[in-house]
Amino acid sequence: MSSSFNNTSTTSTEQNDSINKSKSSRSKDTHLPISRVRTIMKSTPDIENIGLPSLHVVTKATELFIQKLALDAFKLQKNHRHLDYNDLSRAVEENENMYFLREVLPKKITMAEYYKLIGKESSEEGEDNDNSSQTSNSSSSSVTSDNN
Amino acid sequence: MAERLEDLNLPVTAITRIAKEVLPSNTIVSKEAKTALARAASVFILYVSNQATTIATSRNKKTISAQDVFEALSQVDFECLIEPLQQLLEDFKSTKQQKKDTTKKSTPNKNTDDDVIDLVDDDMEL
Repeated sequence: MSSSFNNTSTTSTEQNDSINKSKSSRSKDTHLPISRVRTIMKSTPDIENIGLPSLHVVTKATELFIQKLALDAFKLQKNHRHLDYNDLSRAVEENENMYFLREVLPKKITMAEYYKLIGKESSEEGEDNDNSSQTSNSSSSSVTSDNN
Repeated sequence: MAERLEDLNLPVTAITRIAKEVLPSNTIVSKEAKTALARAASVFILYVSNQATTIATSRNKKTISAQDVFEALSQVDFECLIEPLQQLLEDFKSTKQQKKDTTKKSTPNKNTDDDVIDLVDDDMEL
């Protein structure tokens, strides 16, 4: 009787160890706080419930997305090892699937350029100011014209 | 629902660490770039979950499943992320199964409860 009790106690500690191990390995996999990701997801309109597996998938997807954006931005600048805001902004501009970020990470312009845009806008009414500055970017101009 | 606006921000340190994993080790990331990455990540979450909600609603489901998220990602042109994520989902499921097995072994009296959990597990609500 006493021997069997001893057996069970040792196995349970082993199991606890394995649980702890799996926990630590998982927290290594995901760096982002899952509860925060859930809070952000919950602020989506019309959202009801989020399954636990899907929450993990979204968290990991966000990490992969950050890495993709950072790497794309880094590839665009060649000479110096310094990742700046403008590199990210340019990466967003050049990737079609990051179109949703164009208003979040807009290209920085100088005040002189801004005044020039304002001047152009008032002279050509109805033209989007993005179009006048970035005529080379066909995808952006096509979408903005759709919106109009 | 977020109570304060800061609740929608992701920790910049974590974001920076994740970004630096793929960048050469001596890269300097400017402060502005760090916050921009964090902001982009928050918007990405909203963007994907909004798409996934639309997919789930169109199927009259109230809970967003991992499958909905995968479909949302492919709709927003991020198919490249799906494959590594599927691997992650498999790992997640197997660790959960492992945990379940260990709890079953350690508490044999609660077997019936575990069976109930088995059935509901996939639609687990948060």
